[in-house]
Amino acid sequence: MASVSSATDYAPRTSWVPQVLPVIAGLSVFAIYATLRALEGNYFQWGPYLSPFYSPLIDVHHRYWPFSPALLILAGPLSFRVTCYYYRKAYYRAFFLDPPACTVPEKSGRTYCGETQFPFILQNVHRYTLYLAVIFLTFLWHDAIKSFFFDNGIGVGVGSLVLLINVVLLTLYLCSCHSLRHLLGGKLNCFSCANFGRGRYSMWRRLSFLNEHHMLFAWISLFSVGFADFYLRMLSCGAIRDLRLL
Amino acid sequence: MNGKYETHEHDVLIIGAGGAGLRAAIEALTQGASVGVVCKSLLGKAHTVMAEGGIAAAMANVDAADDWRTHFCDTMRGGKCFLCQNVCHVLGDHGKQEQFGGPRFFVRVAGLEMHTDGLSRTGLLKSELGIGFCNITKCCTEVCPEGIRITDNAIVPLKERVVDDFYDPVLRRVRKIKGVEKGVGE
Repeated sequence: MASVSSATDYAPRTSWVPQVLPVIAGLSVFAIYATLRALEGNYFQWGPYLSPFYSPLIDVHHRYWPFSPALLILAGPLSFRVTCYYYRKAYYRAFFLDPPACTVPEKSGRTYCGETQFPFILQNVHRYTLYLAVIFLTFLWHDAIKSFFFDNGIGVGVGSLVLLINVVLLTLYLCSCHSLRHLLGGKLNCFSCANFGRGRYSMWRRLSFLNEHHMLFAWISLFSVGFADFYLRMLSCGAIRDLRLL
Repeated sequence: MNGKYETHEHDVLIIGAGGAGLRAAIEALTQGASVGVVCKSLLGKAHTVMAEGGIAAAMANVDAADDWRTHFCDTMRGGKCFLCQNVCHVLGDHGKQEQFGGPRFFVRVAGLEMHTDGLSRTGLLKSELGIGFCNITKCCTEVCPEGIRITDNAIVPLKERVVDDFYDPVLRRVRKIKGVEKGVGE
């Protein structure tokens, strides 16, 4: 009798390095930049603008917390991304090579527990990080709206648009979350038997549509949040000037 | 085997006596080659005339939707959808056949679990089917010829239902207060 074999025995040896390199590059650049900026503790405000890395701004005068105020809050949004169903796939593949890509054999001899044991069993708290993310998103919407109110009245600067686009992209990322889709409709077995079933069904349909693009929103919102901070950094240290559009 | 087999020598050996094989045999014969045809059954007892079989699929000139992709999908369906199982690293590389159901069965269980029968399968999913072993790296979805979004529409929703029943401290408390048993109905 032939021994049991998997498809990986016969599959063409696809090159997985080009598949994981962009992920490694993207996540590493963001992680390094975000860490440096969080530790910097300066250049996060200009006029009515506030960097998303520092929102909400807590204890800016260092009365209780001697370090950068960003360190107080960044764990919130970070935990949402770390436990996200898309990012999990991305870093399990790119950083843990488990598997590096489909049909690429893994090194044998490792014990594999998936997400059944510590620390990865903690991925199950994703919905709680979602609740946190909703709170942070509320602050970011507040910042984005506030960015249209200048000292000399209401106006639109490039920075206002940067913050607004960023918060829209972050909202799309959050609304396409698998846990949100589950909580608002996916957990029901029968929409017509549930309270507000009709509304929940149409909401679930819309969230399902967004959910198909979760990966896209994950990346562009990561880029936009980094860019918004970078713009604020440049503005705040005087390297560039904000263009007032209206 | 008792050694009673014959040896034939040919220029061309054709495997399969369907439309394509027999046409090839005729052509080879008219070109002057010595031809052998191997078939599992009767000559011409083939899938040639099937809607998506052999020549119809290859020529794709009968129905716009009837091409090799349709044929491939049907073959996979006929093969009971095992591509996702085969490509899954939890089964293939880590050999968790005893502890892990695999994507094909999660799709099936998702269909049952999202049903109004009032039964809960979260305990089954957590222990016997070991859904926690899946690290959602999505190869099953990538390989599915039917385009079923296995990860997003079966495995992740099931993982979330398992979280509801086993990993959510607030829901556990709510169940305790309401006096509802784990995972029973809505």
